[in-house]
Amino acid sequence: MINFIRQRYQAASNILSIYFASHPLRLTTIFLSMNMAVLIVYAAIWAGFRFLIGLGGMGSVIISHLFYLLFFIMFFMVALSFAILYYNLSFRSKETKFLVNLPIKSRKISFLKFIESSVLAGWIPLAGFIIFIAVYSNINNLTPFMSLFSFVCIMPFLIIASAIGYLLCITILKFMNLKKGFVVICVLLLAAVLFYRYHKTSGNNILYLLSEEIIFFKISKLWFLPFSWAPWAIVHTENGNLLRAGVFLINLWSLSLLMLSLIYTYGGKVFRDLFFKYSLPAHKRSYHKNYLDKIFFLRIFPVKIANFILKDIKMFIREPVLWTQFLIFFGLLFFYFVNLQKFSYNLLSDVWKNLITFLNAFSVLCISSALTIRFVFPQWSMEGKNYWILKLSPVKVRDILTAKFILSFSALTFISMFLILLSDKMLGLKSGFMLLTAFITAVSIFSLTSFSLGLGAYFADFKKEYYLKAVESIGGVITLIVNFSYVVITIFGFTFVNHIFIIRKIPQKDTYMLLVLILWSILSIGSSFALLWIGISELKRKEY
Amino acid sequence: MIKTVSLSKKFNEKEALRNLNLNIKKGEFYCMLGPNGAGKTTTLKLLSGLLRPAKGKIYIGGVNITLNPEEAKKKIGFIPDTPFVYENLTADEFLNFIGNIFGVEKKLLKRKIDYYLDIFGLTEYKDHLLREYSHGMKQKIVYISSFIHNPEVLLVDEPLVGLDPQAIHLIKKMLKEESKRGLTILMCTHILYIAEELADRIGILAGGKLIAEGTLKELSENMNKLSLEEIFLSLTRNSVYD
Ligand SMILES: Nc1ncnc2c1ncn2[C@@H]1O[C@H](COP(=O)(O)OP(=O)(O)O)[C@@H](O)[C@H]1O
Ligand SMILES: [Mg+2]
Repeated sequence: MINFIRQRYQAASNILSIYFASHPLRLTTIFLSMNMAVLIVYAAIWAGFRFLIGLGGMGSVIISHLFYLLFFIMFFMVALSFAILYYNLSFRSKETKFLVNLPIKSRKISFLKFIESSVLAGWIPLAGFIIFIAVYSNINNLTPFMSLFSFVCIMPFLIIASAIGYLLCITILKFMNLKKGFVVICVLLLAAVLFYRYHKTSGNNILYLLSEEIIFFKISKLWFLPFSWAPWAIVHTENGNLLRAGVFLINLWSLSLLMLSLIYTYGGKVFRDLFFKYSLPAHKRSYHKNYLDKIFFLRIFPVKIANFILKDIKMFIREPVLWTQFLIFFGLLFFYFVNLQKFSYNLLSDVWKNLITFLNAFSVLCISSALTIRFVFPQWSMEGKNYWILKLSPVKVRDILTAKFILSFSALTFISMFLILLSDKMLGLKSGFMLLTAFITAVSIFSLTSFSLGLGAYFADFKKEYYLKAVESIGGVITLIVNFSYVVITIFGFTFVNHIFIIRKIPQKDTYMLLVLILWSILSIGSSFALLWIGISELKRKEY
Repeated sequence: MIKTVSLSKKFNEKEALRNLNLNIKKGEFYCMLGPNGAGKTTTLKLLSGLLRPAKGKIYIGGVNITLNPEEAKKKIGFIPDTPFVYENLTADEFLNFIGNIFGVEKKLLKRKIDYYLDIFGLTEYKDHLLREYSHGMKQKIVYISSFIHNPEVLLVDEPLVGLDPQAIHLIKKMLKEESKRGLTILMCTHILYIAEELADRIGILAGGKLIAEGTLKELSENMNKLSLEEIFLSLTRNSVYD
């Protein structure tokens, strides 16, 4: 085990020193922008808190709900991305084949992969959480002890989430295959939505939204489910209830250690079985006369561009690892729409209407930005070692980028337009608001796609064997932060401007709004082109 | 057809290629020999535009590849030492993709793909994903992909790794024929007998420098030696251990 860690450390430090020797400036820039990004996220969370606290009693109720909900969502996100990472690192990577050939116990390999996947799946949530706690304790004047304590809670929390992801992964692989597993999970989610539809609740005002009645708030606080243990422990310590906090903390650690030891003991055999089942391509299937070649959508583009789009579509569809990630997306949607349909928008005051409208747009954009990170950003790294084919081709980088852009942009626009219009409809928004949110969404999708493609090109590493790691790499995080900051700034900006219009009762509200909209669109599209340009010029300089 | 002027390449201060001057005529079959790490792959990647030169100029069919990459790349077919291909496409789809990139006309493309798949014995696998192909089969696909757009210049890196005897025979024959028909070929290898068998002219590269050049006859006359192997060993002895 120590040996492996040393090897990983050596590889990382070698890469870093080579990189530093060849591009000292760029590394420094990356380092600085990471710090900047941390500050931006800190400021954004801080502003959010201030705003909620400014709302008075309701705000603090929302904060306490949010706290549990945050852990709840984080738990499932970590579990799902763990499952996907573990599958790839264990059964799809060349390194595993190499390790299996060495005289190493398979339980050790399995455990190593477990650790590796959980670090990869957990480090971004962990970093986000640390910033969150920093803001939280700053605003509530908590002692440093609290921050430390939260850290002690979050570690076993992440381990348990990973272990759940592990169980999910091996259950699907053992009893089904990826495709069936995917379908089964989707059906389960759908069934849950339908079930929840008939789980009637009453309550038609804003207080309903904040009450314990909403099923996710209820679930996220259930004391006997592990995702609530960490927030309970933190909240109890905050209130000085150390005994209870201690119980939750002990629960967390004992469950995580138990799971770790079980995985260490029994993981070996499971790993060996699955390795032989999945690491070698066994199924032979022929793809004669593919229906994809006849998609009408492609006819409108010149052959040169349609060619690349078609290739990317096929690659996507035939790579289960890629589209199984849609599960994360469905999960998010599920959380969202289930809550939305119980909501009565029309009874609200103008201030709240404004808030809810943009909050809704914010959620849709967050989902879209998660999608761009997962699917658009790795578009270039995905080419990987095959990049020589594109680099040799007598086609301008710009055309290849255009193809990728068209594909990503149209798919995302389709999804997010559907989401925003549906959710607006469910809320019962007026058509003016609907138009506004739809427009904001469209322009934002343009920017998010451009940012992800541009930065993806900038950070693409064509020597990597395993491209999905790209998302968890530094470039992925920077893109995540850029996209997220963009969404936050956009929505905060519009909410704030509109809020002021409403409060001050400004008469030419619409004219001003139009002005703000035009200005914002120009800025967005300008920065989109700037990032795309940076990406292209870096790509041209990149060697194979 | 292929011309380089004092071409150099550095990887972090390490000089992989120093002042290479090549001049290969149309239809010539040029073999570049050299021990491992001599800079053969680097040369080919520079010529095909995968790497950017640190210094010097490259002309492919009279076109400067740094200034006008798209034009130059149309003339090039490149066969790398490891056949990385899109594993999730079928052979047929992959070859169509490549053909479309180079703007080969549709009917002609189909005829060519069928023809080459047939002579390489891959017709029966053409609708299988490339991820199910063996190394040698992928290598064959790469060969086909570089033939379908009728390149004027073919750059081949370690041509015969992982191929079966039939394929080796076939490829040797094809390369010979194409070269007679006017295709300019630059092949890099450390396997001497191929050079002896196929090359019009041989260059020996060691430590990033071209240390000898000429036809097989010229080389052996200059060195008072008989076999290519002895020439190669005596010329490269120093560079391997320096
Ligand atoms: N991407 C790279 N980064 C650093 N050094 C490289 C790189 N590619 C090749 N080299 C170095 O350049 C030299 C020539 O390599 P290469 O052209 O691959 O040799 P060969 O003649 O065996 O094909 C070697 O010493 C190798 O270490
Ligand atoms: Mg080589």
